[in-house]
Amino acid sequence: MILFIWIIILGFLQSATQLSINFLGLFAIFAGLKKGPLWGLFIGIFIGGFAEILSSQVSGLNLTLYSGIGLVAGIIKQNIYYREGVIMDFLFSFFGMLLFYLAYFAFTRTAQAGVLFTIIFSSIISPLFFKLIDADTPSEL
Amino acid sequence: MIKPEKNLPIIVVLIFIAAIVLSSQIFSSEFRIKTLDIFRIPLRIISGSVYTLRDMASFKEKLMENKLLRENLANLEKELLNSKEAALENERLRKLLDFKESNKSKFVPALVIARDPSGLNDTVIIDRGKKDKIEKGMIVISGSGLAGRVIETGWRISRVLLITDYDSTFSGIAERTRDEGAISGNMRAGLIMKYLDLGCDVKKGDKIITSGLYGVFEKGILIGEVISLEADSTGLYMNAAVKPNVDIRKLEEVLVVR
Repeated sequence: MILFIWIIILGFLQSATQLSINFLGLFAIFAGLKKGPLWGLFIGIFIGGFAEILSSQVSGLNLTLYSGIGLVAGIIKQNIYYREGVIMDFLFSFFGMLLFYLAYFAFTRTAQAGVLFTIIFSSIISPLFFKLIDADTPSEL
Repeated sequence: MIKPEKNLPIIVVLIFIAAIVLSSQIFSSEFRIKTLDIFRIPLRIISGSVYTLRDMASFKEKLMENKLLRENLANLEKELLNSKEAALENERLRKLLDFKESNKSKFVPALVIARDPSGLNDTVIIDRGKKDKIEKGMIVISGSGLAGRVIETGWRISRVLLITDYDSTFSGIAERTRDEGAISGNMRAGLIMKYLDLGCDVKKGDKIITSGLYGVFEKGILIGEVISLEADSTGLYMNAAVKPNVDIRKLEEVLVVR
């Protein structure tokens, strides 16, 4: 429940300001990474649904992408490799965000150089962000 | 019994398909704008707080700006006196010609309370809607230039497509030479004016205004200024890079032309 409140608050903040940090994307990666692929998918669907309301993009795009990165982060962690640590959190966030924006550009057939900063800034703050959110959310959510 | 670990790929594929099918049904334009109506108050509080903090951070800068504006005011007052004279003369001539007064536009001030969270679309949400007689297609201006147009309206909220969005295309003309072109949004890079004749006289610094064609925007609204010109890749036309007159990134208050 606390996690969902955090998602809504930071989602509003992301929407009301022009921060070069994708909090919603970080939440999806966090859910996949710390709670497993299924939670990554479910929370990704919630985040995507929330982003759908605020966005003017084709319906279903946000939902697919946010749930997709949550799921992929969870699958990689569970089946391929993951070790607790700052560098791992950074790498997962970096490649998760990269995947998100590449998929976004592939769907919309548009590209923007500015997202590179968003990917970098989001990845840099991700270890601290994950730590704060993890301390605030019980393991069973 | 179904074991989630074993059937994970099947569950995932099913959820994905269901989510996409459902979302295309649920997240219709009407549903989105109605839900945004509910979010209006928290969005106003958050955006209002952010604007206040931003203003506080740039207090010194604002103080300097205030001083400059006061100096400019004195000059403008002189110009105003001259314009009043011209207006009176205009009125007298209109009466002589029996000219009918056209319908005057009304301006509705609105506050930008949210943007697209992904930052990949140039759309904003304003705190005015059908309750304030805002309708789809109305022009949105900020300061002295064109900002966008209303694309969705809720009861007390509207979504505005900014001129810099990739989906924004309209017709514009160069104020000095009257050369016409199609203006498209190019996000952070500003605007591109396409299909200008190869022999056109448009130069760097020329003002671009709306042409009023195709009914998207009214004629004569300032769009921006040409910053560079180059031939199209096909070599058949010229393209001009246009810097919008309105700083789209710092849009806080806008006026909806009703």
